Amino acid sequence: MNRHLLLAVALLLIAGTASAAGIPGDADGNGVLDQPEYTAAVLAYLVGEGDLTRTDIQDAAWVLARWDGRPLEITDSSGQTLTLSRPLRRVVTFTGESLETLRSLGFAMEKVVAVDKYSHEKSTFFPECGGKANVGSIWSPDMERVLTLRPDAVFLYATISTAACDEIQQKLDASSPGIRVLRFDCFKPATYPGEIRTIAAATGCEDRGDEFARFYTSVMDGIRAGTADVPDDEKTRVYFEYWADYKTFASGSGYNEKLEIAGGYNPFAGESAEYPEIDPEAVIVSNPEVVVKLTGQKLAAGGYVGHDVAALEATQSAILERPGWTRLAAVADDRVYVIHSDILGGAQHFIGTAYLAKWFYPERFADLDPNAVHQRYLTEFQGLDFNLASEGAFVYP
Amino acid sequence: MEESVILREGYARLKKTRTVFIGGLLALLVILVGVAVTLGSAGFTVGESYLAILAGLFPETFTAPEMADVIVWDYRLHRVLFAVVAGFGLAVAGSVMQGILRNPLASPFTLGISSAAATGASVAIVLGAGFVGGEYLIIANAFLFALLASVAIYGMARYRGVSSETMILAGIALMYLFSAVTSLLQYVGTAEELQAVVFWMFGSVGKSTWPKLGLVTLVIACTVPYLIYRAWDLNALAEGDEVAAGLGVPVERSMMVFMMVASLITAVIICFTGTIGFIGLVAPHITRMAIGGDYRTLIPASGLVGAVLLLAADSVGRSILAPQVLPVGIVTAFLGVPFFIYLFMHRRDA
Repeated sequence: MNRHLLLAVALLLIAGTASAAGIPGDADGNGVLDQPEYTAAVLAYLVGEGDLTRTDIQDAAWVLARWDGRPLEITDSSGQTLTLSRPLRRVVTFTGESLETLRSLGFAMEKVVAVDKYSHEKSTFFPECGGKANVGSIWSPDMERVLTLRPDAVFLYATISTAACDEIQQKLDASSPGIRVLRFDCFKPATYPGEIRTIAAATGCEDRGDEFARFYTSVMDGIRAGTADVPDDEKTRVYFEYWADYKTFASGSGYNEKLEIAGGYNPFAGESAEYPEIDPEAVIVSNPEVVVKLTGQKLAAGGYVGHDVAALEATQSAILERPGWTRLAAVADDRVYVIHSDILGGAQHFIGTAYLAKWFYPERFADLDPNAVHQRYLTEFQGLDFNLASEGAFVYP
Repeated sequence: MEESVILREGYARLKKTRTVFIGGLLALLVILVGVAVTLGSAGFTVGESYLAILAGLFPETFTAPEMADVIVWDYRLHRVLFAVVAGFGLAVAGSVMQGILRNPLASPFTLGISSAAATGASVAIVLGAGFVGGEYLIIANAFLFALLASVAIYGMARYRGVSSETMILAGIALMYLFSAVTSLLQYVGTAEELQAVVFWMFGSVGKSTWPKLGLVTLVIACTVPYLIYRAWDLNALAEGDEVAAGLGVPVERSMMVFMMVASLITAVIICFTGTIGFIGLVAPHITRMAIGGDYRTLIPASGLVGAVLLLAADSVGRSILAPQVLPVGIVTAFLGVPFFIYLFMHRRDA
């Protein structure tokens, strides 16, 4: 008796998995939903026959209309190829960058059922996420919460924190093979345009994806084109400091990549550590033409919370008051700037890169208005009612 | 009679050893300072570096090369001297703690004082909360939490009866508690805040300034002579509470005073440098191996060993990957541990 019961449960589970994995309405199981199959499924549903639900029918209609009745194959930034048989309805994001990109693409935010703890806390930038489930961070994920939310897709990083993300993916693959794990970085200039288009395809937001990718690439390509003909020995010499004093960036770090795209020359790019602490003497001797100081959330005020420009001004003053710095070209020429990490890291890096380009080559980028780029991004793509003139503090001066 | 002569000869030999050891350390320290002030990424020659020092002292007579005056006086000199003073202070604090607690593992680090300072710094970094605001937030928090830890150890020990065991147990319990609080703060903090806490805990003398150097020097100048003045009490305590009490030393009060003085020295240093845990543990041991445990000489000699160790570590940290600077807390362990193990393995009385 017990054996029969177990067998029945096992068959049910197999059937459930199979239906979740395939396209709804694909009666002959050949992996393609054609028009007659779809019509038959709809008719059966209307007369109360068949086992498809209303959601199944809607998904079948989507697959037929948008994917020509075939499953969609996408390759994410980790190189894995995934097959989607249905549109994404319940998404969990473990990275703020993916979440922000989904919003840029106009993906319906109510389909995001849970977010990482950092995004959950950003009530100004992600006001809609305060009421969503919090699944912790990639280092300390709340896997029970993830599984009970029955997501159909989970977003993780592709090339950073790979061990932590691999572990989450392995757990999901083992316990719920129906959940698609999508891995994207969404903060790297080299891969972001492609990621925008891939995520747009996966979410059915192709038109908006095109529009956003064009906006993004117009800014970044404009910067690249504006600095392409600057000879190496004429590049603006920049000392770029992390929020910790005398900590800078070397090649390999994301910030250095943006500095180089903006046409800057980093005298410490060749150091062995990615984020080396530099002897203050060496900074003075390098005599930078521009100094850029990064400031981050809480460590110095600024960012999307409040409108504390004075805090950024204080950060700049502290730099100007360093002993001996009055003799630096950057200080003598009033070219010491403060920038908030919110617009130089993550998905908004193109805004910060625009500021860098403008600071490094004011004449070449006379027509570039990074503040306008930022405002357009917030209003048009993020859908936020946020006025940069009176809210937030991102750069100084 | 013969025994007395042997003792006398032994003591004379020990005295000579002490004089040679302390004299040698002083000479080594002077040489190290002399070399360290010429090291730096600016690429000044030895002559230019010294010319800059002389120009700062006698501006009428000497003229420093372009930028050398600023770099040597505003960045290099106080850092070198800060390493000397901080190393000296941490080693003295460690030797006092090991003496009164009669435990070779006692140090500001194992007693939870460094952990408490790290927690104070973390509260400032992650929560932005503290006793004072502005640029002194982290420093004040670290200092006050470190003192708070020693007061808590004192309180618990008083409650249970002051003894080396109660103080060590209270200290270790506090160390775990403060470490857990710091971990919790790192957990709730953003990635940037987490990094800031980690950097703080690496330990560095890079944040030194002339006023900070002045303050630390003042505290050490006020406390170390007092400790040397009471060295016989420390000697008695190191032999055991009963021995000390029998010699008329007020055991509980003395232990608490020494503990507080050692904590004050530690707190005033690590609030500026972050966690440098190794010096306070090892410098006194190295000194004991060389010249024995008489606190009259152990205190100054440990201080000199600590000063030499920290300055050597910082100089190596500044030079080995220049212009990068390796945090001194890391380099100290890399330099000091092999040396310590060598001594430990090669001395029978270790």
